[in-house]
Amino acid sequence: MQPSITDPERLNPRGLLEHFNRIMKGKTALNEVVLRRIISAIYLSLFNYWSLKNYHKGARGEGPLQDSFWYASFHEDLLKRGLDHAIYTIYLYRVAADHYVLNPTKVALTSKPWKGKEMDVEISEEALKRVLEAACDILNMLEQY
Amino acid sequence: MLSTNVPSYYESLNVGDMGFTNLEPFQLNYATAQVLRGVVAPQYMDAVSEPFSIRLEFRESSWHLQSLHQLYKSLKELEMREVISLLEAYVESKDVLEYIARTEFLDIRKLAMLVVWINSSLNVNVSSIGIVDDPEMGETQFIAVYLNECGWEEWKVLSKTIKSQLVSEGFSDVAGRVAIVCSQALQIQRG
Repeated sequence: MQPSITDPERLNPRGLLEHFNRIMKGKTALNEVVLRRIISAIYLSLFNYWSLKNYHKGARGEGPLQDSFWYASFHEDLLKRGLDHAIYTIYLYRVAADHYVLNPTKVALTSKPWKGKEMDVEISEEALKRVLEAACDILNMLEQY
Repeated sequence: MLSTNVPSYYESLNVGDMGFTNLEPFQLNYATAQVLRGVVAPQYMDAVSEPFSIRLEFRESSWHLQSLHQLYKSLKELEMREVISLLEAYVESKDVLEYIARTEFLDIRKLAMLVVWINSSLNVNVSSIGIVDDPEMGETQFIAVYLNECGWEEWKVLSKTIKSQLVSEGFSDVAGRVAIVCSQALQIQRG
């Protein structure tokens, strides 16, 4: 296997997204644990891929090998490219999947002392379809990055 | 009715124009224009009341879109407290705006520029503004500008349109630190 420093495509999650799509189209209903883990994996696999592509282009992050990047930088880069619908969607569902246990729930995306907007979120197969669509929009851009 | 007292200047307000003068007799501070399905609706605000709107007939011959730069130039002439007042209608707490201004996460005048530009140039309205934090680190990720009444496909187009305009006019910092959000598009029904 090529080391990732010379082969950023090693972290391309295209195959993973296609695998999740196949699972979605299967006849077996997905339980909530699986739905939550898929949503989380989608977000982090895109973040990993973006980080490595970014590193490959010369950007440097934190850590001994400067290969650890911030979520905020990932979001900023995608927002500049007009992928707001995609990054907001996968971020919202990723936060719900990893940090909130009721389903449906209300996600507050601010930790500041004042009250922030609350988003109604239900983790379901329909929501996963939307997350997968958003992820494909991001991946299509990252493959050309 | 306020409409009978409004200075005539504002009756010929163009899309994207901003008015900051001659409102003192009415104890008002600001007027901005919004497009509401073919009608130019100036929005008047004072320091104490909620924003309210009147509707004026849209004059097609006077149609023009103000550039982001022109708006920013106008906003730079305002004091910070005036800019914050202009955005107060969009936040649940003034603390949100004071936080943005204090931390310099984003130039508050540029945020006001974007909100006014969206309201005046696109067939959508900003409903609110919020800060989005990372729940693990507590760090601010971006500022969400929530729009009224837009669906999933419309969201994709609006994001691209707004961001390409921002980048083309040299406001990449705004493009990267603001997320345009159609929250209605995320109300997913069970299949």
